[in-house]
Order: sequence, then structure tokens, then C-alpha cells
Amino acid sequence: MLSCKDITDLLTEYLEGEMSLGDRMRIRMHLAMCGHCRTYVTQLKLTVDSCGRIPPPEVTEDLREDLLATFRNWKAEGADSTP
Amino acid sequence: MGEEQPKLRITPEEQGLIRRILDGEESAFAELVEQYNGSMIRLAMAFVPSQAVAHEVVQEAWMGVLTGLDSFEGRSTLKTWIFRILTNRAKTRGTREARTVPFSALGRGDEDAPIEAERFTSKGRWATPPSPWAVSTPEALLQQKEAMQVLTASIEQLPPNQRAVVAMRDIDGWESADVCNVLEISETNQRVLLHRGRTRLRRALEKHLAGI
Repeated sequence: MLSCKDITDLLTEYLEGEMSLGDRMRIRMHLAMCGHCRTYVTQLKLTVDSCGRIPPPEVTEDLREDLLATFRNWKAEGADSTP
Repeated sequence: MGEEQPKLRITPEEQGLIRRILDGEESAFAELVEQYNGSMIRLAMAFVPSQAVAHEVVQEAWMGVLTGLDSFEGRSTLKTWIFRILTNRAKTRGTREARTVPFSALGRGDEDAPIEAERFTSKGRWATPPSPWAVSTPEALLQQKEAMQVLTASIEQLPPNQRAVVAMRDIDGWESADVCNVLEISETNQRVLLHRGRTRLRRALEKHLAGI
């Protein structure tokens, strides 16, 4: 019988679908009987899903300009080395 | 028949984009930058101490991409190749900045003590069970600016290895195999790091949302 601690330890493995059918069934049986662990699973999933809503870091205009300058330098060097 | 050709993992669209960049088309480079720059900054931030340094690392990485592009053979995806260049640069810089130890030296990445062990009885039952949260969907959580601030601040406080894996898997939606490839870690290590990172983030949200 899996303990509540086991469930929290195995959760990412479970959510990743990396488990044998037997282990999955043991987790599901525990979850069917344990409200606290169901709450924990819901919260962990919510945490993961919320991470997916974090917007990408801002790409500043300065960085964009620097990168385009990098490109132009690279292009110029390539042109210089072309016979 | 001759030798078996290695399987190419590059799409025709990417091949076209690379060709245009090699031909010197600035808009093609800008397109590639637009596609990956945000994620690159986020990943670099896992290894270096400031956004300013992360920007420098990203710039160095793009220089590396341009320099190596004509020898890129498509044996990995373009994205994986670009992010490997970035990660190598970021790790080197991070080590130099004395903020991190080299990523690979962290081994299994289990440098932390077990998380939340104190919440269980000796038999592994909940002693301090999780408190229900008032929010139940990411949309609702997104509306709570403070909660999202707690989440992003907690990600920033994760150990570098956990932060990198969480950023790639849970924020940017990478496949685990690609994360392993870029960070040069095993599937098991990756899962341990992801699990530890997620556990810490849930705990941080719990502290904020349930006040325990």
C-alpha cells in the first residue's frame, strides 16, 4: 500500500506517464481513497499549468538592435573572407 | 547501396530559413531571433546572476549560431542545437561569475534535503495536509497578480538546475528528451530536477494562497 508521502514523491513520474500499469493502478487506488492527496495532485497540476501561462521575458529594443548589429558584422566578415 | 544516411531532424521550413540567413537575409535572422530569444533569455537566467549578463550570453550564443550555421548538419533539431550553444555559453559564464557550479558536476541534482518530509507522520500519512486553495484553474490564478508574482519569484529562487528544467518543461513546454539533450543529463535526472522544482513551487503557492 502506497503512503501519502509515496504519492507526493512519485507524482511527477506518474504525471509523465513513465510508470508501469501496476504502479499507476496503485496510485489511482490511493487517490480514490485519499482526499488530501487528491488536493495535492490538483494543486501540483495547477502549479505546472500556471507556469505555462508565464509570459516570455521582454526582449528589449537594445538587445534586438545589438543582435541585428551582430548579424551585420557576421555578414560583413563573411563578405570580407569571400575571394 | 551505400552507407545509411543519418536521420535529419530539421524541417524543410528550417532548411529554408537557414539558407536565407546564410544568404545574408537580415529578416530571416530576425525571424529566428523572434522565435527563440525570449526562451533563451529565460534559460540563460538560470545560470547567470543578472538579466544584463543573460543578454550578453544570448548575444554570444547568437554569434555562435551564426558562425556555426553553415556546418549545422541537422542531426538534432535546429532548436536543440541553438539551445545547446546557449547553455554551454551560459554555464561557462555562470561559472566565471561564481554563481553556479558547472551543471554536470551536480550529478543527479539531488543536492537538496527531501522536501516537505516534515509534513508526514513516520508512517508516511499526512500530518499537515495540503490546504485547499480558493483558485482551481490557471486562468483564475492568472487573475491573482500577487500569486503569479510569487510563482515567478519562486522560480527565480530555484537552484539553477531545477530552474532550467522547470523553465524548459513547464514554462516553454519542451519535450523531456530535448531537455535532456540540451542540458546533457539523463532522463532520470531530469525527472528528479523537475519534481523537486515543481514541489517547491507548489509549496510557495500554498504559502501564499492558503497562508500555511
